[in-house]
Amino acid sequence: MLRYYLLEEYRRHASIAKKYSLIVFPLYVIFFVTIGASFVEEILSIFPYRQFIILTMLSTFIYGFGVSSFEFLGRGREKGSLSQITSILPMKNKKNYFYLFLRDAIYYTVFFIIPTFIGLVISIPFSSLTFSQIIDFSVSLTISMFIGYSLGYLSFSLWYQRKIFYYAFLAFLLIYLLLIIFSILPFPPAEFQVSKNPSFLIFSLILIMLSSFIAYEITPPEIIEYSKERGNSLMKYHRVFKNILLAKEMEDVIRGGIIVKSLFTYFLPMLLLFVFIKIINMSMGKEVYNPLSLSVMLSIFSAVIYSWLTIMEDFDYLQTLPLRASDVVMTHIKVYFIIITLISLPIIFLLNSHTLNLLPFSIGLFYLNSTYLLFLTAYIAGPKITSLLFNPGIILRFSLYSIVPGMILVIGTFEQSIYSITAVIITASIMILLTYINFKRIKRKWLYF
Amino acid sequence: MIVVRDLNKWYGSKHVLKDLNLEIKEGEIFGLLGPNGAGKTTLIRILTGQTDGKGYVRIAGIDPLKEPIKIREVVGIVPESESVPNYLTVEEYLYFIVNLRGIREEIVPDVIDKFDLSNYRKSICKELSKGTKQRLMIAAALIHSPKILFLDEPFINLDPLYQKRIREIIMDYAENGNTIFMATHIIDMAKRMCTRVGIIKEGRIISYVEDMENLEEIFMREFENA
Repeated sequence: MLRYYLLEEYRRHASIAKKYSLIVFPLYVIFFVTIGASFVEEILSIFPYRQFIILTMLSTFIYGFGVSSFEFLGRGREKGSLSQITSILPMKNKKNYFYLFLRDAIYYTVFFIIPTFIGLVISIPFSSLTFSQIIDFSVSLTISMFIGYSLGYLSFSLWYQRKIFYYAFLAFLLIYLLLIIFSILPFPPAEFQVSKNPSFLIFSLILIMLSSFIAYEITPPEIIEYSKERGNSLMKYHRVFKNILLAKEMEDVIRGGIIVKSLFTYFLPMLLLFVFIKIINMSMGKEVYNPLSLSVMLSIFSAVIYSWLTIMEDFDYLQTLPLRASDVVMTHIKVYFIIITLISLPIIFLLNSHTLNLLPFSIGLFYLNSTYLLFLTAYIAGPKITSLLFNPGIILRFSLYSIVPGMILVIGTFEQSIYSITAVIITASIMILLTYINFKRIKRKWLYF
Repeated sequence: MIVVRDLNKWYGSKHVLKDLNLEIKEGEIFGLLGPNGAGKTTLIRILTGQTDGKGYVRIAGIDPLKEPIKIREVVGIVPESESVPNYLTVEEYLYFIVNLRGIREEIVPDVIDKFDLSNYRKSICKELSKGTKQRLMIAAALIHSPKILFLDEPFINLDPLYQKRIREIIMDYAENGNTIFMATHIIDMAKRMCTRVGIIKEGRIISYVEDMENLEEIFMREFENA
């Protein structure tokens, strides 16, 4: 059966990207890892080694948890997918979702972990890395990814057992992660990388197996959304927003539990980055990252919210109404701004808590980069974000348009010289212009769903 | 009311509609009868501005190829798939539609009563049974009193009781002089409801039938000769 799940996933992406394009994707990963690893000495001259390893492993862990939540609680339950039709076959539901787990474990190994390893090996002549260091690092990275991935699987099973279990589990994880950041508790893969103590590796492997096993055992026999009567809150939102489509999207966000489901792909990475930078600044005794560069970085995480908004439901019924696909895209954009203003903006205030001088610029840069990235994503991907994933052509364009100005803004805000200020102003002006162009082009490009 | 000339549609290299011609008069209950994959859904999607195509199309004087949104303001559409919102209740969904279409909200309770949806007013749409979903979709399609209603396989997956109820709703609507375009592969349903049937095969309408008594025989002949 597993091969059909693999085939389904392959065809899903091959229908969006061309077949050969899928092969190109790992090449991009190899390329970026090779470039990144070539600068490892420079990176370690800024970051203390231990903090760097913890940050890398925790980021990978959160990525694993995030993609797993996105798959199990979001995309994996799409109408017509194998996971949705196996209920008519003599097959247990827990087996069905276990195949999904295995399928993605294989795909992420092939598309990310192996190319990362290859990229690191290729970088040996240009970096100070040795082969044995790369092996150690790759093992730590892989177990970080799979701890996140298996705990994401477990959280899915908990969500469908009882929502309260899910919330309790998230709260527990959140506290644990904060304790790791403040060096009160260890993160086993990072400790293995730093100390080479095999007991951390063994503990990590046991954790992966145990959480996968529990997730498998407690997957409910069928996924039922318990029905209960609901009041007419749509009209309340309509009175507030004066826009029925926006009111409906807000209803979807609340009833679909998007904020909670996206906690690990959106809110937590932002919080982690914030805490880590504070620690690094403290250990370096100077402001390596100031609030301006951090605001630009935080805006990158906001783009994650847009992907969640696009997978909330099918568009079939919207196609029968007098609506353009671009109307839905623009409404998602409005919802996005409401969410980031409520969640990301307080973090920007936190970043500027010691001095308010840079606050207006921080907010300005945060919204500038968020808006730019969002309109770029919306123009390229339209109402369904899936077209953005695994299509190397699209990813290349997206990377070029997003990384280059983002880098200029981050680097430009490190210091406040006339050159950096000029660079930031020019980049910001170009970004505003491109955002306006994308805004206009979204309407023209996205007529049909 | 509906005029189609030399309409073509390709999905990649697949030629789905081939120089299709069709004319439907006001007040007709027109049935588009054909096997799966003949092009019925594609034709409905083009006529209702849900996808593009090449050719001449006019629906009540509007060109859906050029004005896809305007055509959806004018007509009612019941799609083939059970397509309802994931997170809205029945009542909220109907409020959503009337607000989107700029109709007064006061009609929603009447529509709920008329389509026998009172018991499900506060239920989330996706949790309804197939028959109730279908009734809701028809209610949503008729809420703005369109002059033309497009139905794509409206009886698929419905038990005989629901088939009867939905047939009655549609016939009521037709009695007021409205036009119905119904795609189906159920010969019996086309016979019972339609004033004229077009048989579609491989993207072309190959014959029109007005004598409903002989519909099955004509349909079988067209396909057995192939």
